[in-house]
Amino acid sequence: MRRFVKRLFQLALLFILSLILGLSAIAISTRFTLKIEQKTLGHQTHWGSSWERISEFETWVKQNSTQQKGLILGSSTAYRNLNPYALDSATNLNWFNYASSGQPPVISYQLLQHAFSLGKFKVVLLDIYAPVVKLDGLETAHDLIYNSQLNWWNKTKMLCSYPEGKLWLRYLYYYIKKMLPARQYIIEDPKNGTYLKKGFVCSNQEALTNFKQKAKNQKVPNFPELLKIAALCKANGAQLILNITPSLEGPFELPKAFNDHPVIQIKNFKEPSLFYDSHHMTCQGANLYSALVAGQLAKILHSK
Amino acid sequence: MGLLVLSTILDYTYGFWVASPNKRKALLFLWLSIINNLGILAIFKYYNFFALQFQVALEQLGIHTAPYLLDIALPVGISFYTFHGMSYVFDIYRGQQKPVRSFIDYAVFVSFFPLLVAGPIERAGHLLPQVQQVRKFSYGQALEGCRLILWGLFKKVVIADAIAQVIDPIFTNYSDYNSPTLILACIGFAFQIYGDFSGYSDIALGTAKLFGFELLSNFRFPYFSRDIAEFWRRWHISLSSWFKDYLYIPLGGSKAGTTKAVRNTFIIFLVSGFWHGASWNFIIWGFIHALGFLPLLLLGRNRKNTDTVAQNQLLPSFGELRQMLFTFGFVCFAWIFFRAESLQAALGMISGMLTNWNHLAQITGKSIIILGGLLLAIDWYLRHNERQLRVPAWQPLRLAIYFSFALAIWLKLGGEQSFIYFQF
Repeated sequence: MRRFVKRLFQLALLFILSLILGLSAIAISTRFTLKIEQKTLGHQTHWGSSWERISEFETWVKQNSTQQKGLILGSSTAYRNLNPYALDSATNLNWFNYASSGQPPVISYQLLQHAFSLGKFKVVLLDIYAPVVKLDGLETAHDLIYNSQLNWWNKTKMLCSYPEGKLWLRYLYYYIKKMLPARQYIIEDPKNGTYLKKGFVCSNQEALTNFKQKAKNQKVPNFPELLKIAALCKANGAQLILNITPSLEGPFELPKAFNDHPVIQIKNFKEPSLFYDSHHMTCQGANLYSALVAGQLAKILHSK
Repeated sequence: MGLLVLSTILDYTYGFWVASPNKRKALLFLWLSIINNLGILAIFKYYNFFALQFQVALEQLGIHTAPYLLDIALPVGISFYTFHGMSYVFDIYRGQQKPVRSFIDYAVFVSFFPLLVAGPIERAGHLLPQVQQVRKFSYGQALEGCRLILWGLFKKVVIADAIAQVIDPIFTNYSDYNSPTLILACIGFAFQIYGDFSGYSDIALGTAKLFGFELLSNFRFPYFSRDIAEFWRRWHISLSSWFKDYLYIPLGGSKAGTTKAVRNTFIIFLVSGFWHGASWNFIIWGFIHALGFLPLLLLGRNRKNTDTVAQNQLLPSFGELRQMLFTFGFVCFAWIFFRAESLQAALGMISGMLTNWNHLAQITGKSIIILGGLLLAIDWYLRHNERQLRVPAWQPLRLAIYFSFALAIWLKLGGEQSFIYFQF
């Protein structure tokens, strides 16, 4: 038995060592060719601007430690549709858009924990887009682990929530590549838009001329993380406000659990020329929409 | 869980009663045991099917009924542990097995975890002595077990699940695809179900080896069969031999004249189909196999191919290849009924295969050829002994193979699907 356990242990160790060796070879190969990395693990990318956003966030919190701050969480509909600069002036708060691609509430909760560990926030605006609420968060985990400089502890926590082989391999590769003289190569996607700092991405895609799909009533599912997010906000003295992102696909019916929190839902924001797809806005649309949200936010904050 | 405990207690008790020297009493308890076990299956697995069929029959007569249907999930492994229990009581009745005194030993035999949910269906005479004896850890056996687990996981996670991702949408929306794609999906399912089920069996065999148990083989490279009879000696062996020993032979087998042999063949194949699930699809699947078996039985050629194909040769002869391709094609055709969501869908799929030869450039699922080819190539290399995986003697190459398999499994983790046979 001892011989067998020893042999298994040896094999496991040898496997991990060969894996590290293989990943190191891929990392070093980037000095000569990028093809091997691209074909095996894929390049890191600027898609969703997580790289810049996460790097900027920690500095931004430190630099504005004395100011009253607001935090936006959510998916791409948040970082593309909600311009924090528009919210600043209307609410007298300094806002940061901490959203990321496909971010479901389960990841929002983890990022909120991280945010509160860095500083205080007066308001947390949680952007909700119904189809994203149901996601398991794997897409975001890939984005934040492989395409961002989120700290080691948060990446590891996120990794442990997803037993997915490729994610674990990318996690390992990220740190191996950092330690080796490899070429840092981040893909610039022309469709990504312009990163305007404070987490906001201004789209450069063409506006829709019309939207043929017929709108239909959709339900926003209730999600158990809402209670956890609300409790975390309360424990840290922050007010939680929900923002229901508009979509050309149809109006959203809200679950009863949302009644416990202030909700912003601008129902008549339906002009196709302000969107580049059914739910992401053009830069013009985002600015217009953000101004409307800012007005609602100001009302909620003043009425308190 | 409650059902498993109940079934275990009942068969354990029947074991003693069936061992009675009074033959009439023993027979009575044997029948009671059969009624009990089949009753459990009938209620939990088949009740809704029969109730609905009864309703349809009454509708034909103009009588409208709304039968009471059970709204319960099929208990996991029910078809496997009831068959374990039945074989135990049967063997005692035939005098091939003595009742076990220790309830714990019997309970371990029925519910041994590697085979509880999807087999192989064990025999009391084979597994119980292993449960009762003191087992010693064997380094070689454990290592062999690990190899089997690795190979089983590779077949399931890397091959079967990858094929499932390609073919599931094709089977669901078959009318959207052209003939070559539908044919490819059908071949893909043959590889998927083989990778899935034989993968599970290898994992079960390997896990049992780690505990010092040797389980019955369930697969012996079925897609290298040269006729349907050989296929059934190589596919889900523990089930087909169970039906042979406890149904086919008690009914008279092939020794009671041609008419009875034909009748028995149809019974065994129809019951085998029905065992898989309460649906006409499975029954037709069994019927097709019976039709394929029939000519061999009538011509007395059903035991013609009992050796390993291309023994001591690198490649099969042209004749063997032709026979294997024909058998594989036949099996693939029958799989359509097994996999399709309904009888209508199966017929729709067959019709699509025959008629939709348009847009030939748009063939989906080419990866099936690569994955299925890989599976067949490895199987061909291993075909001489299904219980012992042939591994290269040169250690660096052996380790490279192990690690490549482990890495491939790792990369697929998180996207794995449930085992197909868990539903039975």
